[in-house]
Amino acid sequence: MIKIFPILLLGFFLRIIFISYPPFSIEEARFAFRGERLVTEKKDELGRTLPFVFNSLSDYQLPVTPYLTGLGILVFGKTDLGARISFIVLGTLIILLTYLVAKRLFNNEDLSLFSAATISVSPPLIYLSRIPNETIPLLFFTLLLIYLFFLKGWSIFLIFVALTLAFLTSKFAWFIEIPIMVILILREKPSKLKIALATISLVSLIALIFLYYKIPQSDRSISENVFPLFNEITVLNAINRLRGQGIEQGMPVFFESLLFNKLSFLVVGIVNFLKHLSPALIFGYFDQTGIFNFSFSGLLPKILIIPLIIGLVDLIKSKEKYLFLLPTLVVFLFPAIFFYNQIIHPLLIMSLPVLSIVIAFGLKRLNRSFQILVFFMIVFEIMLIFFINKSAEIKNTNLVRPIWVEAVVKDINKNMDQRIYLSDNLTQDPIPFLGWYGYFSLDNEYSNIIFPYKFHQTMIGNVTLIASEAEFKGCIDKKNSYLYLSQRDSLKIKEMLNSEKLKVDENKKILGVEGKIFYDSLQNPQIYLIKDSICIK
Amino acid sequence: MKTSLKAKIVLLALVLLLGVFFRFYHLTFFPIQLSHDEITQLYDAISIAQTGKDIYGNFMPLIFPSVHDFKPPFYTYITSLFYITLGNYEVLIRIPGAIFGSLIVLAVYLLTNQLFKSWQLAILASLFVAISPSEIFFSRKSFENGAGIFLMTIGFYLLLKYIFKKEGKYIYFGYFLLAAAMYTYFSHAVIIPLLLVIFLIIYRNLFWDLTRKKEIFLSMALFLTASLPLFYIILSNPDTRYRSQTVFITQDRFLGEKKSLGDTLNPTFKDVYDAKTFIEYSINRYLEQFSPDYIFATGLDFTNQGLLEVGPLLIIEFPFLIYGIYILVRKRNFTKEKMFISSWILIGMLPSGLTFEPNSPHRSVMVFTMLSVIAALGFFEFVKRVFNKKRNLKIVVVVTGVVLFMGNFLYFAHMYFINFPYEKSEYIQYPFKEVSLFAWENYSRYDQIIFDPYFGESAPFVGTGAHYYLGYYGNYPPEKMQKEYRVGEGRRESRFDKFVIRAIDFGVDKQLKNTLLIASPWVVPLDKIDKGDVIKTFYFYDRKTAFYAISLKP
Repeated sequence: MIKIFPILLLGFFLRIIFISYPPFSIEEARFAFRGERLVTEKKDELGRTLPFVFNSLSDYQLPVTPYLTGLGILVFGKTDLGARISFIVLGTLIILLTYLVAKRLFNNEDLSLFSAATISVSPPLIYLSRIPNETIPLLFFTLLLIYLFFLKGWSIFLIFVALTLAFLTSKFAWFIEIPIMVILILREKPSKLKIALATISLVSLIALIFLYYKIPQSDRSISENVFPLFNEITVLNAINRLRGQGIEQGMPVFFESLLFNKLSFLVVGIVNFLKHLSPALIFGYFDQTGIFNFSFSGLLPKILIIPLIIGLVDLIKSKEKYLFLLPTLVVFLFPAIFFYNQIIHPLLIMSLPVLSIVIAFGLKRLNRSFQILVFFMIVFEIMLIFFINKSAEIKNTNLVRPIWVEAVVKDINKNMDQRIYLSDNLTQDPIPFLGWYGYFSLDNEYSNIIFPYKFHQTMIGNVTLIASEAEFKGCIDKKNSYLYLSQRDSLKIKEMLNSEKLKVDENKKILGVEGKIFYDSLQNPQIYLIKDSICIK
Repeated sequence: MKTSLKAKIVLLALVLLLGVFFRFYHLTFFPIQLSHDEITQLYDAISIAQTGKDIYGNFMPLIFPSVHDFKPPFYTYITSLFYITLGNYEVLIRIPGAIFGSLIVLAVYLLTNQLFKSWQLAILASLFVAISPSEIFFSRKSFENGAGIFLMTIGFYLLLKYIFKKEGKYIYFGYFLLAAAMYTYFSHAVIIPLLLVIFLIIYRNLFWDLTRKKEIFLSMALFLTASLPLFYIILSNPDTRYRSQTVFITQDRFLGEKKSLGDTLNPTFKDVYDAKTFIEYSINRYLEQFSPDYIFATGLDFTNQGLLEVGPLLIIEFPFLIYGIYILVRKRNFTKEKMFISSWILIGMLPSGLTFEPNSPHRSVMVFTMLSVIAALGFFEFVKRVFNKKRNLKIVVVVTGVVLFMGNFLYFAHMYFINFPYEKSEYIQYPFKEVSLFAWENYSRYDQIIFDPYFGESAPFVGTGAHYYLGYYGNYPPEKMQKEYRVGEGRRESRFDKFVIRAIDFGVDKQLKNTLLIASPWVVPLDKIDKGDVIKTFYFYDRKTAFYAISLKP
């Protein structure tokens, strides 16, 4: 047991080093901002008191992640550490849980240590453990659930708690947890009590889904975010098009309908599932957008491909009783079948503990010197990620993780006594960044929106967002109006000035001279500050 | 025993017939037009047969400049033999590909039987290859790789045979065929030696029989001697080097973009970053070739309809491939064969994994062939298990299996014969044939005929090989073409006889007299032309406009 501590220490170190990296994406900034509001004001960013369902750009959000984020902020304040610490801790505990689960399953110290070590160096787990997100808590609760399942007596209540928390973390849990419990029950032949518990869990899931359906627009939320494939007009068009081509060529309509019909959706779903089995995702590039992982890394360090293959061969050849691991992988990945042409990264991350165990089988078969070589190769790869790739990563994630926005918000904060207007395309949704990086006194003007589905805020504190259709006018005499304009709006003003539709003080005609220009990570100008000369109509 | 032999022969014959049928059925009509690769090789083959030179006047070239893509020589020469024997037909160019594609079915039978010592499995493997989408698709489009795969499969089969029979004829002939296979396709020149070295390492204990060292060394010398001219061409000919460089992964613009992200690093770190990025990118590209959605569902790129596509293998084979791998891994006393099969797959994916295109299934056909063998193994073992079960279950499984396989094959056939022409006709330069025939019909009416091959359905690109189409469909004597063809001074300009192939600037060119202009709407929008001047409109297969023929009379 003592041997796990160096691995935990390594895992913790990798998760906490360079604490401010990576910079937040919109949703992560929203989690941080919301968490801060929840612990300081007992309200969310819209002014609702301790709500259970939250807003995001794409869907309703479940409550566990925001409250977890708030917990860290409660202890460490409104800092990078505060917003990230809960996930760092859970990310480290995932390593421990992997070790404990592997120990329970295989009763082998080396194997358990290798599994834990593999999890500790997985790039997306390192990455996601540093930012507020749903995947890390979901993986934590799932592993906890599995571990508790192996304990006796007192764990029954905890299993129920872990399961409920998993259900309240991410909608993927609604698909994954019950099949996992079924696999465990089938494998471990547990007590009747546990079977009863599993039944209760299933019933509580159904109840939860039922309650969710009571929320306005929940059917839209489910169909757009849980089963988006069935809304995919591209597939319907493709079916009609391919069928029509056959009919045009004289094929019988019946035959065409037999080949291309509603079942084609299932085929498309299966193909999307198959996409998730690509080895390139595991050892090549996992997520080049930089949302779920370092942009240029795989799910696991590259050298581990060798122990993975050896582990698979070993499992198939000699350890048939452990082959249940492979269907478990399918359970983790199967919700991908409901999506269209899209990699669902959290599902692959959820499958990491299973992969790590297979890799551990392979590592165990290697001789000591090769194990050491593998270790050094992993250390080398991770050092490259942190020390060589970092600036390239920041450039690559210039728009999804706009670190440069912080400077804009800090500048806005310095001008708090002014009336401030900011172009709404600073990012897809600037409010979370303003909320997290800035200090605004909020008057909870959105608190009447009880169930905000994909709701866009247009103002926060003294900052109002400028919409694309906004019109400008000169306001020479009017002071105290600061405009932070994107390229879109600055070009619009330039055109108005050129066509003399807009008249301002002669000395303030040229944008960017009188005010500041804020540059993004690629050194492109993103925001122009105009003071006291132009107003919104 | 006799029944078994008869059954074997009859079944094998049926499978071969099936393979031949799928490769030759309506070969003249599908693909719907000769592609630029086909027309260039066909016209060069005729040129070689008639004059001993390609259309540019190169005597018996070892690499064909073609449309500046520098094609390997094997397929063109073998087509010229067919031309001498059969005469001039469009379908001629497809016959060698279809023949070699059919022969692969037989070769797979022989190799599988030799590896697994089971004729039933060997027949099933050859059946899987006979109905494999990638094998059928590439066999029907005059693809030179098929010849290489056939020769290579037989070559290794003979070497394996030698190991167990120790008869000199097998080793000599085996090495000879492997050397010949290297001439068919450039990537084979790398893959075959690599695979051969691994083969010799794997089977070193069985192969190196010191009592037979004379034939071992002589046959190896034969192989080396036969391969030497090829390596001489590759290493000394700047065209082949150019060809290799242009398709190598370093040409990938996304790799370039990734490298540029490190531009602000200090020089030492930048070098490390560049090397790291290149290695990572190559590993990612290589591993992408093993993605199941690509192999089983989307790899052949028949449509523009997202995931409703066709892969190099039937999607129904996926579970059998997984089961086949499982069986293969568990198979005892089979280590050498397993290693050879794995090496075949891992090395076979290298060319596709190291080129600039994200996926190039035409470079991986040998891998798909081997994957079919493994899927057949999975299917074979599955059927064996089912046949030990109750009768009712057997019937259900057999009926379901047959329905699923047939359904999947029908889906592929529909995609190939019906949807593919609609969706992708532009990528085989459709309707260049119709354009060429029309140009020749009007040959005598104009002083010059200008053709701008800049066209496309949703986005424009330059269609290559226009002079080959014009030359071939006008029955233009290659000897004359060798004298007449020249590169002009205009943008993308080449010309022969009355024909000029170049970019058209309609604002300027509309002043020309007694000229026939053939250009796409990308070059000449309809609203800029006097409608009366358009004497013909050419369409893509899906009836969208491809080109206008515009008559400029005095």
